[in-house]
Amino acid sequence: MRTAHHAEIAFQDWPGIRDEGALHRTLFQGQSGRRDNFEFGIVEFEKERNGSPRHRHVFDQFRYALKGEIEYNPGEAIPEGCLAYFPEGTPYGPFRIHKDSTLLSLQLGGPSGQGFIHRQDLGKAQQALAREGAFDKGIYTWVDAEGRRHNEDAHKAVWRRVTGEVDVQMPAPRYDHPVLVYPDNYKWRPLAGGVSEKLLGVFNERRTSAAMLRIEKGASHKRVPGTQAHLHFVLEGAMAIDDEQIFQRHDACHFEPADGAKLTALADTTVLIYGLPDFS
Amino acid sequence: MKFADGRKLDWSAYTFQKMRAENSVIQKTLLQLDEGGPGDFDFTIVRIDTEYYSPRHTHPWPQVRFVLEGVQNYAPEKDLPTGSVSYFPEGVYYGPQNVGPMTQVLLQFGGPCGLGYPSHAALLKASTEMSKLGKFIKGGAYEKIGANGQVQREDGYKATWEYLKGEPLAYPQPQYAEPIVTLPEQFSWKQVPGQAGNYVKQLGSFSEGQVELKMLKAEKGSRLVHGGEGRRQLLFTANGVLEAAAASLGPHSAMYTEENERMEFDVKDELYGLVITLPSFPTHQGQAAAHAGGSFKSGMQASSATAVARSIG
Repeated sequence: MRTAHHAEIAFQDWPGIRDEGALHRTLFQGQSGRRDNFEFGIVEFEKERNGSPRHRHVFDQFRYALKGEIEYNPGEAIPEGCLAYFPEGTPYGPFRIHKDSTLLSLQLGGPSGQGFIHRQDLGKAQQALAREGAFDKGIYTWVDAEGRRHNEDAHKAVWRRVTGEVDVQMPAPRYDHPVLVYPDNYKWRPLAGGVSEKLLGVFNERRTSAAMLRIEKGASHKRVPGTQAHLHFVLEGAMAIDDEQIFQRHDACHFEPADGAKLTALADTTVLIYGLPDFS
Repeated sequence: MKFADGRKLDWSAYTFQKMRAENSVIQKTLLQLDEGGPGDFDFTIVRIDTEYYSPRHTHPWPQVRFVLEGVQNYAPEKDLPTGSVSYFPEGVYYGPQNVGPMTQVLLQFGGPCGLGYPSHAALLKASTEMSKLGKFIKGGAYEKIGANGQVQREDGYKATWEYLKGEPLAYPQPQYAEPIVTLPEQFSWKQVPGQAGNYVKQLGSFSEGQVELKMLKAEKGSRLVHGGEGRRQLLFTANGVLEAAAASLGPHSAMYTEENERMEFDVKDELYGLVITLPSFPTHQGQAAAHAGGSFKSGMQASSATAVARSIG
């Protein structure tokens, strides 16, 4: 098990590919090169931003709106307290951010198994590309040896530089549209005394999932080892893990499949849980 | 356990069109459960040879749609392509839809809100009585003269449901923004552990009732083991031939298994089919526990403890 206490993690202004005006608090990263690699963190937007153009990824994403709303398609937005699953290969955008909004971002290897590349690696590639061309509003522009001008989606250009691939092997979409979920409209399903869950959705053949767990003050939930790793993020309340470490609002844990743990609520607590893809 | 062979069934007028004296949609009813409980369902093949229109609307129950032929439009510039499998959640608005020609498998069923799925026979009876008090008009609305002498118009299904139940219909709040459309061709097959020649594509699991959709493939000459997973399931065979002592299933057949029912078949011709796991419901005691199976009349059913553990870890 790994832990992340948000107050101990500084916000960073990552080198922007599409994220100008965004501050990132990285809670966890997975392992580079693995199919189930991921990046999990809180992103704060200080100013209104017309973000990325319509695009798609070779990896999956989840976005949960902690504050404000996140517009991901014209007229379609993630309201505060809701989440959306952005499947690999499925187009979305243009992305528009409103001032003072905060989202919980999970980017992770999708079912096609192409993994995910960390920001540090992307940043290095972006710096190299910036010496050869220019980034502007999500587009990378450069002039080749014959003097021809090229425009390419910025993320795609950086991805190609990191992987060395001639072209991005974009997976065909499994879903025709991002899946926007309204958690407030689910009923809590009791699991045991004082513990209940909302299963928000299980997606694709790797069973990548999103759920919420509610533990009433004083009650405990036992996590049992399985085949899937999970990320826990405290939305409300506070809890102790194995009667030792205390997790407050916006703290997080990363459980490997073999990890067992006892979660005890110190106040009425709600936890957002992501199930990472199972490639076993 | 119930079986249906779609090839031996006759086409008939689609129930909701009968209510409106329209006739562009025909159906074969594969299987129904009509016990007045939250787990009732209607499992059909629906065919439209010309066209069908319905306005933007919602239902108090979900649907699963599997398009066998043609393309189904379900909202402006939004289509379900051939081979797609979609989950239309309860309470989610969609449409207007301009459909046809196409053939699809359609499951309509009691969803996680627990309102159940009123039987078509009961709806028809109610609509016949209502036709004496007002009229159903093209597009799905119902009109009658109100107490104030003015014409009142409302959604025809809602009016029929309320007439049948004798209470206002409180539509469930949507859990998703729109229908979830999956394209099974793009998913990978995974071998079913311990079952040589059997493969699944997990398309997704939705709502707190854990409605699960998956495609199933069984190679010719293999043995197919189906059911017994502690959940109610429906199987539809798009292609293939399955044989057992109890039943023989060809293309466009269906099977319903209750929680702990299990069936084994010899696969005589390669199977490609859709498996729908129907929603679970919490017990009255509010405990997730393994359900012994059996009648729906006993009321709410238990969640699958196994599925719950798998979802949250």
